[in-house]
Amino acid sequence: MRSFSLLIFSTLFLAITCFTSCSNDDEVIAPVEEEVITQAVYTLISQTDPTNIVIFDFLDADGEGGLDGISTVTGTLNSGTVYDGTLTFANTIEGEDITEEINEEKEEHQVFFQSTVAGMTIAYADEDANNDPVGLSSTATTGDAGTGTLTITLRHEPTKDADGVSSGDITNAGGETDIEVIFDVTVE
Amino acid sequence: MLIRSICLFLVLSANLYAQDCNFTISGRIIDNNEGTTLEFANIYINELSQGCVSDSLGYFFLDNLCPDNYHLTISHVGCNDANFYLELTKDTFLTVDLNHNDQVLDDILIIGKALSDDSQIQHSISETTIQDNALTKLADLTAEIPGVSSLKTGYGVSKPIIQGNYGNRVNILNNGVPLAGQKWGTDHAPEIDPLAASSLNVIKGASALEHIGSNLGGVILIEHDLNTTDPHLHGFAGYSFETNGRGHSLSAMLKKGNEKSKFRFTSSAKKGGDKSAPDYFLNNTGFQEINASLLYKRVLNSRWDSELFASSYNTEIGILRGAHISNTTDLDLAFGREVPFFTEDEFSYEIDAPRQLVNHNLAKLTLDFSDNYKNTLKISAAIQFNQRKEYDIRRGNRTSKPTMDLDKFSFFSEIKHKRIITKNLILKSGVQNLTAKIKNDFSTGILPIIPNHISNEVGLFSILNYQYKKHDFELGFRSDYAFYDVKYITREVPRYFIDTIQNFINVSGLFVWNTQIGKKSVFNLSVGAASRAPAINELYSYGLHQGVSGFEEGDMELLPERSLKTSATFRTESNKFYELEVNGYFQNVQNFILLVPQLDIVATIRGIFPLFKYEQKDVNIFGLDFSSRFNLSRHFTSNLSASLIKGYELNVARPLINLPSNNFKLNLEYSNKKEVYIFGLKFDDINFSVEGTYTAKQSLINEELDYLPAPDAYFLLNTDFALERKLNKVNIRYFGSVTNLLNTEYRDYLNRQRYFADELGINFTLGLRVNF
Repeated sequence: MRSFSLLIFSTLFLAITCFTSCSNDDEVIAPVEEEVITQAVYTLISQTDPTNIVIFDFLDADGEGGLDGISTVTGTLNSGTVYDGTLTFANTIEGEDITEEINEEKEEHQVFFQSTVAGMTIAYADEDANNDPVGLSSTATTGDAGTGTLTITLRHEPTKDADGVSSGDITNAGGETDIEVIFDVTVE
Repeated sequence: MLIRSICLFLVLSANLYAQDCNFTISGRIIDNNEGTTLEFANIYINELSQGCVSDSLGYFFLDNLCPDNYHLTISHVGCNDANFYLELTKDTFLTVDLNHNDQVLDDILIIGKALSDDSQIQHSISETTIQDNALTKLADLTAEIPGVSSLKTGYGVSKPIIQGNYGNRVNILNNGVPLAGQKWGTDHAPEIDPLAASSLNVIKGASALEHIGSNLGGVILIEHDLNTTDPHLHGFAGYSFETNGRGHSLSAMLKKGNEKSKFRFTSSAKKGGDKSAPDYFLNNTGFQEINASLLYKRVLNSRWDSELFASSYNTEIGILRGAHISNTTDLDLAFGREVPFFTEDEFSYEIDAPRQLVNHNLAKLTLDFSDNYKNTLKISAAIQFNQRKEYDIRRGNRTSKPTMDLDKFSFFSEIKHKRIITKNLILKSGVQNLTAKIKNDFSTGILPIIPNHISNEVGLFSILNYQYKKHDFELGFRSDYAFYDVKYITREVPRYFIDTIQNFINVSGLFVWNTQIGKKSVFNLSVGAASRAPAINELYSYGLHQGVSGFEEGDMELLPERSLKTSATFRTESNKFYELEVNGYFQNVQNFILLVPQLDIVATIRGIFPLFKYEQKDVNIFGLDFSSRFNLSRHFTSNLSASLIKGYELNVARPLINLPSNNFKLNLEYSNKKEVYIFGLKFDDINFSVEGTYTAKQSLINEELDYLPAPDAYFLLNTDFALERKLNKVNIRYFGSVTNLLNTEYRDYLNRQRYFADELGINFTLGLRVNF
């Protein structure tokens, strides 16, 4: 009799514990992806001919992972020309402009421009509170006609006072890469 | 001819009056395992700070004792100390069974048949070792056992690897409850404070069927023993300091009991700052921890016992700042550095992002029934609550906001029945359930790497144990059903939730043959087939994992792993000169799940990304663990051990990644359990040892398999000491160690942060523990 009641008790205990699955139907709201940057746009406007506009656009519509990003270049870069450059960042998933956020934290950010096109140089046209460059505004100067690539890198928490960093050399910068995009460049 | 060693006592002056101080305690000391008598055992009365030594036939005799309550400690070289509480009211004869701790290797206790009705061989780390290494993590403690290593992410996070199996394949049980932690990746350490345990046991064998969860990769049992019947409060309080990281540890244990009820309470607090490699500080590698546990047992009636267990584990861990990278350009830059980025000249206790905050709480109730020893029934229920918050370097003042904020609530229940059918036939069976609910806080602003889900596992097992002469057979069967209800977020934009259900059925079987060879040796063969359902993180991970600096992607199509493992062990019981154990194993796993670095280019806005994907391979893993002990003289012993392991993927004939390197260990140890005077102070137990370890290079791992080739081989020299003083009622233990004595610069293949920084430099530890 005793073992029988034990059996009953055990079965009950199991029945209760095995099937008390909690429900998974809680209301959930998809998380807002605050920090993702999906688009970087570098716009160059000729100082001498305001109709000569070149746009370098990198867009990774679904963020990191998933599909690859696409880079497009519109407009023609002319040789021997000085351009005013502006760089903007956006989170297209949430429809948010990230440029302002970076501008507010400019001491912690720096953009690096590396061009393999002969004669093409890019200089900083802005600075942070410590008189160190940021790179949201820049001046691009083309030399002779040629082709190559332009790599734009945005670093978070770089060591801005490390050797060469303030003049745009990325070698000793450190920090984390928030953006690293490469464009094919043709100077005509 | 019986020669008695008679120990005479000076009667304490305080007890001079009113009492007849002419009682005796006599007895005989017997080796529990071999049934032989033990000479030269020390019998010690703590209250009187006096004792005697057993004679050649194991007898001892103490006289002129006053009627009083005494605590006796009986110790012998190679045995665990036995403690007795005695109310002396008449002449008393005691037969003392000492447990020979069969030491192969320093401090590693091998539990054979005598202590457990499990036929598989267990290796154990004793409470003394755990307490002497108070600032050491669980995985690094168990790595003392040949064949067990630790897979690290930096310096504060480590996971055990048992004969090549790690992560979800290793089952960790805390006082019988499967640890329902958040083991989403290599950077998530088991949520266990070893200081609360009375021992750590590892089953390396083929498959341990008694437990729910994975049983194809070995089991770690965190034991909490409580067998005191001493009505006085006993326990210990200890403090340790280590120079590397300036770490402190405070721990205490209290226990008390009688025939009816007993308890054991433990508590510990630890704090450390930046660790250092030989040449630089490893910034942001500090940690802090505060833990407590309570075990309470009560006899309800002649048939029913009850047990309540509760534990709480709380920690904050810093992750090396210089290991925080976001794309392969950063990774390449970090590889080339002599000193990691963000290395500072100043030591600090501060923990900044990247960091982890983890809490794990457990409560368990057990009812034990036994009916004149033929039937025993154990009913347990446990709840666990785990919280994990991870913080990263973020833009826009978000660093104080977690990037991951995940709660896990789980419920475990179990009924186990054991029936002794005949004298040599035992049947064990049981049924278990583990339900877990995992919930994200979505206000992190980051896509969660693990989706919200519910998992429910139900399993049942049956194990038959049959003894025939010197042979012992075990045949077991287990089946598990796993159910997942997952709400994952689409990987395409716009994002929405998809509710999906997955079911798995796993079947496992085990055969063990244990036989005695001659008088002293044992041969054990176990063959186990097991299958394991893929875990949630292997199926659904999707996102950036900070500690491993990479983007991790699960695969919803993964199939269950199927393993067939054969393990053979030969062990000589200890004799006067030597003892040794050799264990060879071969494991074939189909659909072995592992995280593979993807070396082809994935273009994102951050450039090329270190991407890791969960993939399945058919693999073979095989190896040999060897350990031996040589008694060179009465006080000197030497231990030699080696672990050799190899694994490769079938079909493609590629070496398997993340396997431990071959390693060898040699030590020389001096121990003396007799009275010794140092600087005029009397010590009763002295231990000193020097150890050299050699870890070979994983030479087959090249750039085609990983971002960097495996680091070079290295040799480390370590030393430790322990001194014990037995005083009136208390026992003081002074201990310390020096690890990486030569301050060698090295990197270890099993540490994910080998890409960024060297391993730890020299470290001195000093500690003091008072046992009362």
